[in-house]
Amino acid sequence: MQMDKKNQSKEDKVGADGLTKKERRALKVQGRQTDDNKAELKNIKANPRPNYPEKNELSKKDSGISIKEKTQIPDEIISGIEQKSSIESKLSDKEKRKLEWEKTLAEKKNQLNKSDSDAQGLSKAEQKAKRRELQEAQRLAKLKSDPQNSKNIPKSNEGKANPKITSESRSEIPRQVKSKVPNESKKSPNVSKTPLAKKCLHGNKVKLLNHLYIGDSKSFEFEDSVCLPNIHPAFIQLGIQYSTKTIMGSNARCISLLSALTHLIRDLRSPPEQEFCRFLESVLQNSSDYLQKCRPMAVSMINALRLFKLQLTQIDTNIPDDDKKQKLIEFVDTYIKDQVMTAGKAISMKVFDKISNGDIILTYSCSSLISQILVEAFHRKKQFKVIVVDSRPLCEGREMLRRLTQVGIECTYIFINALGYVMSTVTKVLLGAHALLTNGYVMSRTGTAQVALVAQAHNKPVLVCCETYKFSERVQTDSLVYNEIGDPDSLLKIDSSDKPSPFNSWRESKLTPLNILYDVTPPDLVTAVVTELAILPCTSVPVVLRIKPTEI
Amino acid sequence: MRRILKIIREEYEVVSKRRGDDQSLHQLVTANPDDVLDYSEKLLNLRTDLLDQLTEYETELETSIENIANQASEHIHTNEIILTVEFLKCAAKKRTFQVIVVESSQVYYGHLMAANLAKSNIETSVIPDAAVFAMMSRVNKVIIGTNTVLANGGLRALSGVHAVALAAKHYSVPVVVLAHMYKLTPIHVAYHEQVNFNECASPANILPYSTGALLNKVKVYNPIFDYVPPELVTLLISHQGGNSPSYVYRMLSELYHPEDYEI
Repeated sequence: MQMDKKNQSKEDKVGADGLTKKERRALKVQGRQTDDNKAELKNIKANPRPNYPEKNELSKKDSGISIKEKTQIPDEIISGIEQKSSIESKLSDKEKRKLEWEKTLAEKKNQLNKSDSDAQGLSKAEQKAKRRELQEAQRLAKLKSDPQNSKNIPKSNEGKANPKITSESRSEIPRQVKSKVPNESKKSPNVSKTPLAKKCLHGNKVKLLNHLYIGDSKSFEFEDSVCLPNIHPAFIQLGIQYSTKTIMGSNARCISLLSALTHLIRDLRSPPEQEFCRFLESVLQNSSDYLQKCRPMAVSMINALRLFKLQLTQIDTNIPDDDKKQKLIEFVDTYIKDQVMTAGKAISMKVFDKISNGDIILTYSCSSLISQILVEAFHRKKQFKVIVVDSRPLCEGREMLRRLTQVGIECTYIFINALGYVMSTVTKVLLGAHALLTNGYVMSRTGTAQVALVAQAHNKPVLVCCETYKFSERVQTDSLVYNEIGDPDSLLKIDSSDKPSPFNSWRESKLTPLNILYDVTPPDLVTAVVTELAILPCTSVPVVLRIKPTEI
Repeated sequence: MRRILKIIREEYEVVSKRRGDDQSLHQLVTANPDDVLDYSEKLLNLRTDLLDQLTEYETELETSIENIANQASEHIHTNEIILTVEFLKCAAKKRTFQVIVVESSQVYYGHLMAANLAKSNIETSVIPDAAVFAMMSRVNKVIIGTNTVLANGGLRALSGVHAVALAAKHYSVPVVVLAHMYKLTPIHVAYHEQVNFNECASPANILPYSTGALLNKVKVYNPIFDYVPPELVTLLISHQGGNSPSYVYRMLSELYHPEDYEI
């Protein structure tokens, strides 16, 4: 399972990087084209076209330049999913696409009005040969003519060098390339000199955590995702929000995912030969792959998607599409309502009973659930104080502080290193969770485990609040096996001082800032877990998981 | 002679609390003759002896870092957690190892420390304070510096060290404390006596003024020190060698005269 994931991610990386480079190059040379695309996307957003094949037809008319790119991608994706030799096809397609780009560029610049249909009529090998010629011609043309682009040439050539050599020196591209895939995918970021690729430099990863460096979140930029035709704009937007971390917290991420899902269901029209649910499933698969690339999915999202897919298979296939849509949307809405909203309320009622007057409650970072609980308890006239513990580099605690002080709760704010200073005065520790694992470990924002540890050393009760939809079947005993790496640069920023950090040039040295996003808290540090079902010990996660599917 | 030495050291200990080595030594020289007069012993010999002692002590202090560095790290003040196979810079010549440095958010000594280590070509990673527990499972050894070693073997160290030590305990990782003898103090501290024991720095470091209106409603604490109970410390290393924290009382009686405990 783990291996599969890894492989998957590797593939993703190839795809992502390749795409990025290509796209960037293209974008550099041809800013206008992206503008076209952007405009196109806006059109789509404003006037959502449900059926993707249709959209491609449309785009053909709108922007003649990107026709091929667009028409080819669906094929590629389908084949990528369904065929066993997914790497091969992907790569060959990648090459093709790259060449396509070059070709379109060449066309534009040299005013060579070679017909598009020509190429399409030819066999694959012929196509390739032709494109290679074109590519050559285009490169020469680039070098000679077009003074405007001459600035860009050195850069783009450097970036190209690696893939180009491989594609030219071999006649049988797909097979040979396939054998080279692992090497290339690792080398290419090092070789190419774009600033983005630099981030992937092997030397600056913590060896211990090499397995965690899945692609580069930064490599997904808005321009790149504009050109993903098979994904609903709502999902594209979502992906960007995830990768730039504008949407944080597993609840928020899950809800935004589900609302994007309703948009998708509403806008989707299946092709006549395919059943709606099956089609939706495949589209959803694409979208979730894309999201996964932007940022690894939260457990809450995975659970929600899994349940939704289950629902897809159970739905009656004989009713008309509109009814199906209606049902699915209803399902998503009730999911949000039951699993997130109502559960949150139930938990806050349960915690309310546990808060007594005069309590000093310590909480860590920002959890939507915890803030909800505290605000509600405050409105119901409980008297308590809150200590918000925070840590760099995310400083989410400030958001929590804002929410709590807004309603007038008395707050104290400390950094995580001052825990020992305040812990003796605390009466309860309330923590949010990202997920609860089957072995009773609590996965949460980094630092949670440390808070629980210090609380235990001072014999303070630790309550973890978690809706049951965040329970996961995964098992993990330490924080490093599966985790997420945040932006290392954020560690270097010190917002309170103007002095430059002593290691601004860390990329050249042996220094590595490491910023992991989650950690797991062992069950012996947690007194109890508050769920909407009951207040449970950590170890009852498997029990809850077992009764859950039947319940829904 | 021994007594004088003790007085000097006692004096030094007092001054060390005021911090600043060079200046304190200077004060020491000027302050001492008065003390000696109280003992009403032969003054002539004493003065030269005293000066000899002081210069000796001075050189000792100067070389102490080197001495400790021979055994261990060069950095005593920083809040470092180090997963080392062996000691730091000196050891780096002989062995290869990785170092993880905790940044210690309110003062960021960790950043300096890491930059220094990286300069001497040691593989270094910087982690935020929050990630200590997560990383601890992979750490072989924790090496920390301290501000003061208390009489019971506990530490008064940079804030955050308590959590580091607890995490180390949780994962059964040995905690090595590097401290020079002058950091020993005969003071005992009860576990939760934070008020007299601690100092608070400017809260602006953790909640910048730019947060504006929020500041009015919130209490912000930014303590400098952390108390680490002796049971969390595995080993104390000074320039004279390693000792367990339970042996501190003995070192104290060697260093200081009991009458001088209270000043």
